[in-house]
Amino acid sequence: MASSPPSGSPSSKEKKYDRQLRLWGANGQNRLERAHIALFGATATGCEVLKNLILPSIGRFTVIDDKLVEQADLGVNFFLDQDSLGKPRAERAAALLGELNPDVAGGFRIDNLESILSNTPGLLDPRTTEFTHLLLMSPIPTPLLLQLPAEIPIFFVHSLGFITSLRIYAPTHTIIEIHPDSLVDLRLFNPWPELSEFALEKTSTLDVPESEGGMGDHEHGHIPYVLLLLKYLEDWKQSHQGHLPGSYSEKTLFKSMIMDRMRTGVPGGIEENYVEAVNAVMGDLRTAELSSGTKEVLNDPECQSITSQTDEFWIIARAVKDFAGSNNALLPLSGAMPDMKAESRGYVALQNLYRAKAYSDAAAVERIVRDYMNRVQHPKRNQIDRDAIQLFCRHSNFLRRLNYRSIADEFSNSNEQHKGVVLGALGDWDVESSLIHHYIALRAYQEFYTGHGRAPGDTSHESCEEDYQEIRRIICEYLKGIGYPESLPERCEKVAKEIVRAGGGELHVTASLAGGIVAQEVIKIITRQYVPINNTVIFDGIGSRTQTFEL
Amino acid sequence: MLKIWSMKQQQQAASAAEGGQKKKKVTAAQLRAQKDLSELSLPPTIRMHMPDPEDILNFTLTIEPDEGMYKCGSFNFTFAINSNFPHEPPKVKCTQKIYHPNIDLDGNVCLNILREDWKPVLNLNAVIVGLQFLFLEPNPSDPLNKEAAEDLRLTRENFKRNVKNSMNGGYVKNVQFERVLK
Amino acid sequence: MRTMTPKCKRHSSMILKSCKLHKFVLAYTRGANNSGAGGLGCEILKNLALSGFKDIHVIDMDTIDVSNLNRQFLFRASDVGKPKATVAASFVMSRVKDVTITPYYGAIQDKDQEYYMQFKLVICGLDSVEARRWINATLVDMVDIDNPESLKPLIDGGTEGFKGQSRVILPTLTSCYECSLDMLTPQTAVPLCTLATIPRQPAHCVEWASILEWPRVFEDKKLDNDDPEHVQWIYEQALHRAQEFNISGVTYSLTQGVIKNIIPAIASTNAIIAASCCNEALKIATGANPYLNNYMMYIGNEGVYTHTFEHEKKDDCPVCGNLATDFAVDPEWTLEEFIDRLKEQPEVQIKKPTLVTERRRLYYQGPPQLNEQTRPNLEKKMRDLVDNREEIAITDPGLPFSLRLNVIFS
Repeated sequence: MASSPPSGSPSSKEKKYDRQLRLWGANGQNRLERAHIALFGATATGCEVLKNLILPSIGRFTVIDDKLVEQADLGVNFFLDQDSLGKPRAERAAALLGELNPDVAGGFRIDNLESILSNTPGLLDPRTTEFTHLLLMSPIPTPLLLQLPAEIPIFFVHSLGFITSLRIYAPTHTIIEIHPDSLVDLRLFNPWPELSEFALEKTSTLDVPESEGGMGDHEHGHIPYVLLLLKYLEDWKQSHQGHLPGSYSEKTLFKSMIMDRMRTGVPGGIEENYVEAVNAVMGDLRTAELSSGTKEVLNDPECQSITSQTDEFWIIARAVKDFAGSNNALLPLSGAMPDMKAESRGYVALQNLYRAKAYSDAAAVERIVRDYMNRVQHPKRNQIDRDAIQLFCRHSNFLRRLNYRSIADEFSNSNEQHKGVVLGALGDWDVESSLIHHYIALRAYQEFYTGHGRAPGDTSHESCEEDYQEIRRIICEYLKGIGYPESLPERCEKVAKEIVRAGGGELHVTASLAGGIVAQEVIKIITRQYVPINNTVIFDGIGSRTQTFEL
Repeated sequence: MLKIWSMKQQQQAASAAEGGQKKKKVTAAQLRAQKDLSELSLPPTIRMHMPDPEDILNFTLTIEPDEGMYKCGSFNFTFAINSNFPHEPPKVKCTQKIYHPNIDLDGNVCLNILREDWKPVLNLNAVIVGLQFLFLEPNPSDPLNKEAAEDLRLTRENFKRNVKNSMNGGYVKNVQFERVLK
Repeated sequence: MRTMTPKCKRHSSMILKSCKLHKFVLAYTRGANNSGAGGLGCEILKNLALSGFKDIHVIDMDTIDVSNLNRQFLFRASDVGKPKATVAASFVMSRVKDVTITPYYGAIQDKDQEYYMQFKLVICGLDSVEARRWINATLVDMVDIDNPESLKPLIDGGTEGFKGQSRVILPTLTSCYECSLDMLTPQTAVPLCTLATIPRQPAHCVEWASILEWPRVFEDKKLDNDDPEHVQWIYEQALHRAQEFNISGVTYSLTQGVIKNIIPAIASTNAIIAASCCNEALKIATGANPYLNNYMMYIGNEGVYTHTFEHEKKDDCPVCGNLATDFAVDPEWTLEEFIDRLKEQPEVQIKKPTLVTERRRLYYQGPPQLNEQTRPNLEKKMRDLVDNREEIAITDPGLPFSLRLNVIFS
C-alpha cells in the first residue's frame, strides 16, 4: 500500500529505546551512553540498580566486589545463580547483568573500596578515572566515604529489612530540561511591537456588528483568544489610565467586559474563543517574573566572572542575564503556545509570530555568548552549539542549580544547616509520621559498622540486645550533639530495633524497590533532565512512604 | 489473611444476610444502558429499533424532523455501546449519505457530547436530543462537511434548496445523495 | 494522573496461588509470590520467586516486541515474537530454585471464577482500564460470606514515565477499582470538525489520517497499529496534510505515539511499583506488618514524592457499592405482584422499575419495542421466571443507579 519507500521510519535503536526516548530524547540518551558506572558491592540492591541502568543503555559498567558467592546470596540476588556458588561475586554478577543488554560494555574487578583507595588510587583520581558515577552499597565505613573525590557524583545506598535510603553527593548540578507541564509564556502584559500590531490588525472590526460592515460571525468565533485578550487589554488600558488589570477584582471585571463583547446570537449561543479568553484571564494575565530556580542560576557566582575555564552552561546563563538586563528584565521568549480555538491559517500565523520572536531572542543571546567566548579566548569558541543555546533560552525560566552538601559536612557534628534540618524535622507538627527517625537510626547503624566492622544484629557475634544498647547510645549521643533537648524519641527506638533485627540483611523486595528509586535518580543526574533529590531520600516499606531531606 | 476475613465478618454482621450458590451478575455497562433505555422519553419524531432484541447495546435510531430544513426526511443512525460505557461515549454513525454540515459523507457525526464533551453523567437521552438538534439547527461554524457549511453560511437559501434536492436523491456539486424522504 | 489512563488492548496479570512460604523467618527472608509478564510483570515474577512464593500463575496475552527490551529484563532480542508469559516463566524458574510458575498465554477474561478461586491473591500489572475493571468486578463478585477463602486481595500497579501508583483492594471491604474511576483524567479529545476542517497541531493531522481518512479509503480494513505498513500510511497522509496547512512537527514517532496512545515506560519506575505491589503482597500473606491502606502514588519527576492515602469506598459504586441483598419471594407470585411488593418497600423509592436477570429480561418500561416484548412476563409466575437465589437487577428513575436483589423463595 505504501508506494513510496519508507521514509522517516525509526532505526532499530530508536525502536528498542522508544519508550524512554519519549522521556529524555536523543540528548538524554547520548549522555546516558557516555556514562561509565562503578558499582561497589555486588549486593542484591546494587545489582538491581545496575539492572535498571543497563536496560536503558548506559555506556559501561564495572562491578567491584571481593566476596565469593554464598548460598545466602542466591536467596536475594537475581543476578547470581546456582552455578555461581563459590565463585567471585563481582565476576558472576557482571556476567549475568551483562546479558541484559548487548549494547552495554561490562567489566568487573575483584577488589574493594578500601584497597583501591590505598593501593590503586588512580582508579578514583578525577584526572585519571574512567568512572563517571559511583554507586556505593552499604556497609562502607565512614572514613572511606570521606576520601572520595569531590568531582565525581556518588550514590550511597542503605537497604536493610524494610528500610532503604539514598544519599546523593554531586558537584554543582545544573538542569535545563526539568520537563515542566508547560513552557507556554504568552507575554500578554508585555507584548512586543509586532505582536501588538498583529493583534490590532486582526481585531480592528471585532466589535462592529456584521450588519454594519463589521466582522462576520464565523471569523469572530475563530479569532484566537490570545488576540482577543490583547485587544481588550488595550481597551481596558484606555479606560484605566494605562493600567493593566492586575488584582483579582480587576481581573473579574475584565472577565465580564470580555463576556459582554461575546456574540450570543450564533449557533450554540456562545463563542468558544471568548470562553477560552475568559478562562485564561486568571492564569495567563500576569507580569513576567523570574522563577526562584532561574534567579538562583543567574545570581550564582559562576555567572559573575567568565573565564576561559567557565562551563558553557554558565556562559549562556550569563548571556541570558545580560539579555534580560537590556530587555526590561524579560527572559528570552520560549515560543510555546497552547492549542486554541482558531482556523488553521490564523493559528499558524500567530504561532509563527511567537516562534520568530523566540528565534530572534535566542540569536541575540547567541551573539552575547560569542562575545564572551571570544573575549576570554574560550577553547570552545569555534564550536558554539546553536541548538544548545535555543534549548537553554526556551527553558530559561525553568533553570535549576543544586548544590550538594558534602558527606563530610553531614558527618561533622558542627554543620549548622544539617543540625537545623534534623531539629526542624524532629520539631515538626507531624513528626509522628516523619522518616527523620529512620535517618537517625541509619546514621547510628553507619557509625556502629564503622566502629565494629560488622552490622548490628549480625548474631554470629554478640547478642542482639547488646547491639541494640550500643545503637541506642550512639543515637543519644548524636541527638545530644545536635542540641536536641528531649529524651530519645520512641519512634527512633522502634526503628533502631528493626534495624538490629535486620542484622545487615537485605530483603529482595526492598532491594528491588531501592534499585528503582536509585536508578531513577542516577538517570536524572546523568541526563541532566528532571530534578534529582537533594540530598537524601528514605523509603519505609512498612508505611509505604518516602521522605526527602537536605542533610 | 485471617485479619482481613474478620473485617469482612464484622461488616456482614452489621448488615445481616446469608449466602448461597453464586449466580452470574449483569455487567455495570449493561445495567447502565438498561437504565438509560428504559427511561428514554422519545418524541413521536424519533423511533428506536433493536435488530437483535437480546442485544440492548446495539440499536438503530430513526429521526424524522417535523420542522426545519430537514423536515420530511427520515434519518437512520446506528448506536454501538461498548463495555466501557458510560466511561466511553456510544459510537454513533449515520447510515445514509446525506448533505449536512455536521455529518460527513461517510456518516461521521460531529456532536460535542459524542466526543470531546462526553461525561459519564450524560445519558443516551442527551445524545438523542443532541442528534435531533443537528437537524433543526445545523451548525456551519465548525463543520465536518466544509462545502455544505460554506453553502449554509454564505447562501442560506441555496443551501435549503440543496438540502431538499439531496434528500430527494439528487446531486449537489457532482455528489449524489441518498433518497431519505419518508 | 494520565499515567493511569492507558487504553491499549494489551494486558498482563499475575495471580498468586497458595503462598506456601517456606522458611518464612521474620522480615528478612526470601519470600515471594506471583505476577504477570509485561513491564511490571517481569519484576513481580522475580520478586515473588525471591520472596518464597512457591506456586505462581501468570497470564499475559502479549508477545514480545523489540520496544519491550528496554525494561522487560526477562526477554532477549532472540525472544521477540514469543509469548511473554511462557518466556518469563521459564526464565525465572531456571534462575530461582524450587518455584513453580505456570504461564497462560491469553486474556484474563478467558478464565472463570472457579479458576480465580484457587489463588490466595491477585496482583495486576495491566495496561488497560477495561481489563482492570473486569478483574475487579470479577473478584468483587466472587466474595461469598460463607466462604472466607472467596475474598481475594487484589493488588494493582501502574506506571507512566517517572510516576506510578500501587494500591491494595480488598473486594467489597475497601475502595475498589471502579470506585476510583473518576480519578482517571479523561483522554482529551479534539472535536471531529477540528480534525476535518481546521487542524492546528501535528497530532490533529495524525488523528485525521487514522480516524477519518483510513476508514474512508479502506472501508472494510481495520487499522492495525502494530502493522508497520499501516503506520507508515498514516504517517505519510498526516505529513501531507500538515504540509497543506503549514503545520510542522509530524514525525513517525509522533504518529506512532498518537495512534497507539504510547505511554513512556522505564525499567526503574517499573521496579519501584512492582516492588511496592509485592511488598504489600508479602505483608498480606504473612501478616508480618500492616499492609497499605490503600493507595500510594510515586512521583519522581521533581525530587521524590510519595502520597500515601486511603481512597474511600464509594457508596454508590456500581460494582461494590450495591451488593445484592436477599428478598423473600413467594414462587407463586406473578411478576406484577412482585413489582407491587417492591413498590411497597419503604426504604427504596421504586415507581417504574425495569428488571433483568443475567440470562433474561423480565420487564422493560421502555422503549416500546422492549416493553411490548416483555409485557407478557407480568402475568407469569416468579418460579417460571427466576431460580431460587438468582439475582435480579433493577433500575428505576427514582434510584440513582441500580438495585440488586437475591431471590429467596419462601
